[in-house]
Amino acid sequence: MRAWRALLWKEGREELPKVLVGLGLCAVVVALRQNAEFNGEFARDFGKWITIFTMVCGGVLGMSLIAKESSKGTLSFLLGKPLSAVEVLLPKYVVGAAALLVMVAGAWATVYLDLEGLASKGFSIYSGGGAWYPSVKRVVEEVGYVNMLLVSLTPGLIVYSVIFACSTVVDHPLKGAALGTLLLIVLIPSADNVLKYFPALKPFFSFNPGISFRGTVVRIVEAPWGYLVRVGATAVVMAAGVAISIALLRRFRGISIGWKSIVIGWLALIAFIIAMDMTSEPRPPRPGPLSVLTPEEGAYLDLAVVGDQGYMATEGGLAVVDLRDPTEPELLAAVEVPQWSMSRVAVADSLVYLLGQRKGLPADSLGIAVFSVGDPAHPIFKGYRIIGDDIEKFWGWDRCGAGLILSGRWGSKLGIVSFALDAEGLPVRADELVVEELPEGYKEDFRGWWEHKLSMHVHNERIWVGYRDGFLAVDARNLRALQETVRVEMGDYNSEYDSHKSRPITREGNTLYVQRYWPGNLVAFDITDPNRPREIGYWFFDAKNTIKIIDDWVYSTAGSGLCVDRLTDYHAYEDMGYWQVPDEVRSSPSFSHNWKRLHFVRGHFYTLIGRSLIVFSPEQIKGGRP
Amino acid sequence: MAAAAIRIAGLVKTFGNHRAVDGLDLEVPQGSIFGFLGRNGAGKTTTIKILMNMLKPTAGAVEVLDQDPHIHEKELKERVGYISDNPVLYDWMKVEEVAWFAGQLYPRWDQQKVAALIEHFGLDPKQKIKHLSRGMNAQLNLALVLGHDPELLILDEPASGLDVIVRRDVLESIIQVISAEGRTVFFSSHLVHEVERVADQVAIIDQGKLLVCGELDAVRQQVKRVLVRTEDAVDFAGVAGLRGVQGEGRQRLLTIFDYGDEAKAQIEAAGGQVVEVIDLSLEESFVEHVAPQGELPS
Repeated sequence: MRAWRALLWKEGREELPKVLVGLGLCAVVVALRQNAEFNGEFARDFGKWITIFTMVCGGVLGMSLIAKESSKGTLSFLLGKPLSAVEVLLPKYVVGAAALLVMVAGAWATVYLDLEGLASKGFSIYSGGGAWYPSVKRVVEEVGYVNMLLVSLTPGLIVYSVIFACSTVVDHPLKGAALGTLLLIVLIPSADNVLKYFPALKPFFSFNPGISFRGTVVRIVEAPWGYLVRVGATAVVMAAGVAISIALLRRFRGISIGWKSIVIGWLALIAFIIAMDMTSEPRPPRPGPLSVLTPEEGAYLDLAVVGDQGYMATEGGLAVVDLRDPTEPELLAAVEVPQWSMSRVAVADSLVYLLGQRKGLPADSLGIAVFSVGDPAHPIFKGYRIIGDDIEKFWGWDRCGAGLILSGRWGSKLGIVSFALDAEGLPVRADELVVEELPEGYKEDFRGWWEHKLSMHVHNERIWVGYRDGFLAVDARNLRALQETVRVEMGDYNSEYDSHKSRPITREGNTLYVQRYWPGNLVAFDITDPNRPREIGYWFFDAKNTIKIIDDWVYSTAGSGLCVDRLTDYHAYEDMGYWQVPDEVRSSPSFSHNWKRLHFVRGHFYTLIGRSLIVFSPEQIKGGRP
Repeated sequence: MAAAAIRIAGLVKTFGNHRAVDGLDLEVPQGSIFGFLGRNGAGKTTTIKILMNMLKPTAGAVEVLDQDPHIHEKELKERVGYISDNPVLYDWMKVEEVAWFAGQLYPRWDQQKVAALIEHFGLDPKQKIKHLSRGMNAQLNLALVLGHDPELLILDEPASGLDVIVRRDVLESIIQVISAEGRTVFFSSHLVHEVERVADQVAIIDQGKLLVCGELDAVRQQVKRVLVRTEDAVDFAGVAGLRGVQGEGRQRLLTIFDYGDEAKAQIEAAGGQVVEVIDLSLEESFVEHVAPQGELPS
């Protein structure tokens, strides 16, 4: 016991300067956060920086504890004493791990000492790559200091343990770092390969569980077994690190791996990587669309597919396309509606309803132009209805039962508006249902693209609406008396700064899929009883735009094509690739990016990308897979 | 015959293709001050590290105080004091701190004795190790190695790297402080004349092999220089133990191992007449042992 106490004292004294340097850096960061510009950067990137800090600290501590004694010659002093290998190494390991804990605790203190600063308005929601960040303030508040510290400490402990073990057989700290890093580069991808067979565990083993849109840290904390698995696995790596170190010290004491061997190891690794890269089969070319139809002028803005025809809102009117041959859609008709600017289309029986704004009238006068398409090649303009100047924004526009449904915002209210059809088929505003009311001053805070939006999925006179806090179901059998039947809060970490994004919502059979913003989950609800949606599972999937799910295959729209993923067991998904549209389509201005529809009709997908109608065939990408 | 403090039998240690120790057999009598001589790279430190279980032998057996150091490492190190060939202490510690720290690592420790030795050597307990000279460092190591009252001291080149004055001081300390208590001291060195001043038993090792081992005088007496008067062109090649012949003409100086009556008779039979038999110092004897034949003139 005396020996342990003395060894712990010695190791503590030796590591103290490193800990003080680490804490000093943290103190500098705390001071710098008083600067608004620095604080804004910090709020965006602190998860990344703490991860890097943890890794570096783990490496620095691991490389020096033994190898420094070897290089200075003091190891002989210890080995000449009546100490077992365990007594020589374990106090070192314990003190190093404790030092890492203190340093990472200091790093997280820089976050928690000024939580309010994380909610600064300068916080950037979108990075250059389009990554989406949640409300970090709420996340770190709810996850808690201790949880955040322990979860983020685990990768640092792994780095520390591996480098510590390697430094047992070298005589200089840098050799230990070089050897340990080499081993980590080999081990981490290997562990990743092993995890392929245990997809359920994969999210909990994310090496960097920081504040990412995947929300790994929240999943880990909220799933006790996942937490235990992660901590347990780290404990196993730590125990292995110590055990290997002890075995190496017992078996190979006095033997040091030289630079020559380490350099050979690195060169072998680099050669292996180059060889793998050269011998790996080139990725098969991404399949392109089956066909593309681009208007001579303007753009196709919205698409409805009924029977063999596609009906598209153009900037100035209606376009009708014959889709009988998906490889060659044929434009049947293009009708201009003077003085109108159209942007949405819905079809009910043989009538097409174009939603748009009538020019020349008071601003924001929204109207519906109606065409008869009994003969699709010759649409006949039947008339229009101005539906009021109160609706300032609209997103969803669909047929519902015997009428039509619009989702939009009027005043500070976000909700849905129903339209019944009169005897001539012209729409009459019937009812409205407020989904959420925006706070006072929202116009100043959320302008244009940043404002709140609703998503909508209509099926069998029932409307599923995704909104900021969750989703709700509306019974629309009586369009004059819309009834909200159930409202489900998703309980995700969605701040007022993030709610510009619509919540993707779709349905297949009796399963409703709703995106949980953060952690980025696609959540499945059983809606056999639509008044009581029951959560039945989730996948670690981040649906960004419109999605359609067919037999566990997820098709989601993107600016460059159609992404294809496959939901697998254990909450995971597999990236199956994507169809890529030609460059000229991709580079053309994208209209209604978030609102393009995705139709699956007679075995083909129809959507709008850029200003074109695009047709995809699943066979192109499935390659015979079921 | 005294019991052996160290027994080495058929010891082999290889590093790759290099045999650092090559079939070494050695016994160190208890109570002796045993000088382990050899050139740099002869295998002395490797042997000592095996004795201290800091290296694993490739083959052979070692016993220290009748115990296998590999099996009874901890117990042995409680009974053995060891100073490595490059004894480095924690330079951030003070003298008194390192004395306390070392004491905590042993179940038995005489702090007063260590303090007295530190005082004896004139070291300041409050001084940091990094401010000590090499000589002071060596003296502090000597003080520390005695704190647990070891039965056997293993010192690897204890005077190496010290200037002449300090080396003398350290060796004096070994004589005064260590050997006076009657414990066994096994120390290696390549500084032969220093060993000659201290040791009563010596072994010479070269290229991992034992060349000679025994009491200091016996080892010293093993090699003689013999002045021979002779006629020209006399060939002494048949003389037993002949190591080398120096000189030409009527007087030759022969270097002969284990010179005795038989060798004398062989010289006379070859046509020579022994004029004088000259004793060698240990250093001269050492050189004759380790220098390859023909490399150094006798």
